[in-house]
Amino acid sequence: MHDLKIPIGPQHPAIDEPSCLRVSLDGNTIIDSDLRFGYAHKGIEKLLEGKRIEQGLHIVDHICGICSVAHPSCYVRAVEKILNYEPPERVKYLRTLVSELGRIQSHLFWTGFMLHEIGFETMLAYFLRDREHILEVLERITGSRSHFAYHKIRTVRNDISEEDEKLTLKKIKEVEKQIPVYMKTIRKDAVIKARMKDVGTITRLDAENYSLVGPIARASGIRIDIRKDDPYEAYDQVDFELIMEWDGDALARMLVRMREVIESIKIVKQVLKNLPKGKVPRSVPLILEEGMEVGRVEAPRGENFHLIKIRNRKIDRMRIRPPTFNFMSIFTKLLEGRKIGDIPVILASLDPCYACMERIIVIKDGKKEVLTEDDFRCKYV
Amino acid sequence: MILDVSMFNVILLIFVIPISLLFEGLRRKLMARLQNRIGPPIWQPFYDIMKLLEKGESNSKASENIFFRITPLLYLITTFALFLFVPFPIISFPLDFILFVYILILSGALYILSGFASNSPYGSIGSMREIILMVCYEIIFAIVIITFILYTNIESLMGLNQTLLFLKLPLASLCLFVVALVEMRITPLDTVEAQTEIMGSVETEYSGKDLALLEISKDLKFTFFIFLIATLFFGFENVLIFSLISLVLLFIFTFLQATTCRYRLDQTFNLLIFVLLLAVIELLRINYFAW
Repeated sequence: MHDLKIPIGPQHPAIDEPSCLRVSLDGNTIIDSDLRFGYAHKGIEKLLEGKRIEQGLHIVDHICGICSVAHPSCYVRAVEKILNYEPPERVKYLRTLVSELGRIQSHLFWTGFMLHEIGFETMLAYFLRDREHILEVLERITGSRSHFAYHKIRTVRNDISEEDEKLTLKKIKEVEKQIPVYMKTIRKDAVIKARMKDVGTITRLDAENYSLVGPIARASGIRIDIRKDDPYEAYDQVDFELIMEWDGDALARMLVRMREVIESIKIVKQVLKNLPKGKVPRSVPLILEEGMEVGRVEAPRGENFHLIKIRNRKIDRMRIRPPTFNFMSIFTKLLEGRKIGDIPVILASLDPCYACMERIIVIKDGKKEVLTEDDFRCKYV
Repeated sequence: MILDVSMFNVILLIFVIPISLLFEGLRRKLMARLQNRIGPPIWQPFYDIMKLLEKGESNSKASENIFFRITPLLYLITTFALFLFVPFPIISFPLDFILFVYILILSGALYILSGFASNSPYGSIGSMREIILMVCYEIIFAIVIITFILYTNIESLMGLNQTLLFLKLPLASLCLFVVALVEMRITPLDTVEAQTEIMGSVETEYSGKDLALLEISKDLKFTFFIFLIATLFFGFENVLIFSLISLVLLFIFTFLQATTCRYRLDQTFNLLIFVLLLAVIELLRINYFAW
């Protein structure tokens, strides 16, 4: 069994989105690995070029199904910076509400999936049940179960009624009731501990060198959160804690995400309590001659970054850097010397979202070539 | 050799495949209810098997290999042969438990062979894992059976019919339970068929009729261990009580599968080494010490 090569992906039960990981094995131990992308490429950045700003918003909304609150939020933030526009308080609060609900559903889905990777099917079913409550609320508020399209430039799609508020509070309380039970299971279960403790450990130094963001960096003890560092929407007016763990392993990442769900529930409750009265402005067509700005928001997986350059009323260049881009570079390093059984745990603990990430593929003479940012700069800039 | 063929035995042998498929259906339904789902109907395994038997086979490179074609059938036959001894022995002669253990190991070996013959990295890794674990758990199984035989002081499995033996041999019973978990592929010890790690391991390359045979064998093995534990622990007196105990055991195993997650290969191996130690202690206890 010396030097056996196995492919993990593009189709494999351990990964939810297509990617190809080729692992060289010495017995049961990984000696080398090679990660390839390009299966979920949609050409979003090229599509956006030459589009009007409202059209761009529609495309940005369809980048990813799970982070479909974070991308429009980021886009809208960048455009509103160019406009130098401050939305009304009620709009800010409504945006915060939907952002946090999006974060809760993403984290719940991820945690269930993570436990499914180590064979805990029951927990997956339970987490999906709880996520269903949040999706119901989101459907009531935004009219859709994924691709919410709630953020509009200068406003939001629709206002919420008092009934919606009541439903949200009721459903949120149901989720809140379950979280301590799950936390207890995750902290106490011996098998979960055996599988996830000290697996895929990222030290604080590594996390800084690879410029990791989001829950992964916070699990390694780095204070980083756009909601605190560069507040947007109504995050400067709500009270929440920045969750950190110090171990940096898969278990710490899971605990960070579970504790973040509790914080998000706290934020949702505060938003509903302090929701200012007033009207939500109507969405009107927008003409913008020129400008260039960046927007960044805290997506469920970390910092999401959009750069928009507008010329002649059209988008001239758009750069999207989702959080997955930062932490896929450390993945192959984490695999070195681990066992086969650790691959799904490490991969899932990073929570990759390839649909957000894949940007550039060059197809030349039928050969596919996936470019990194540096390669791209060398060749074309 | 005595061929003890009663009406009940013949009926059981004929109906053991439908019974095991029914057990699988029950297991799925119970699992779904525990997971807050509705789940498939109890007859679903029958539909699955019928569908697979109607299907054609994919033509892969591995199908040139003769072992790839015949091992599923042989695996089914050997697994079926286990029911000659359990729950009530049909063939019986002095020291027949050696044949019994031999058949169990043979069926495991055929499973391994089918994995290597499938010419797939996932199949090879699954077979490799099975070999590594088999070194441990088959020895434990043999020791446990010998312990039971020595304790009851009989020559043949025919006489192994006492009630509540598990109270008199607690450690050996525990060891048998752990071996059953590994063989039945139940978490936390279903490392051989870790779906999210190595897909379906041995079954990855199989399709159509061969896959149906493998599925039936898997269900047969599941039922076999339930029957074995019910017979060894509680004895076989009444059909009704026996079925009741089997259903309770089915529930216990399903509950265990629903509430635990999977160990890694090295962790499973370490656990089995520890269990092996327990089995040896029990064997020494009943031989040399009077407690």
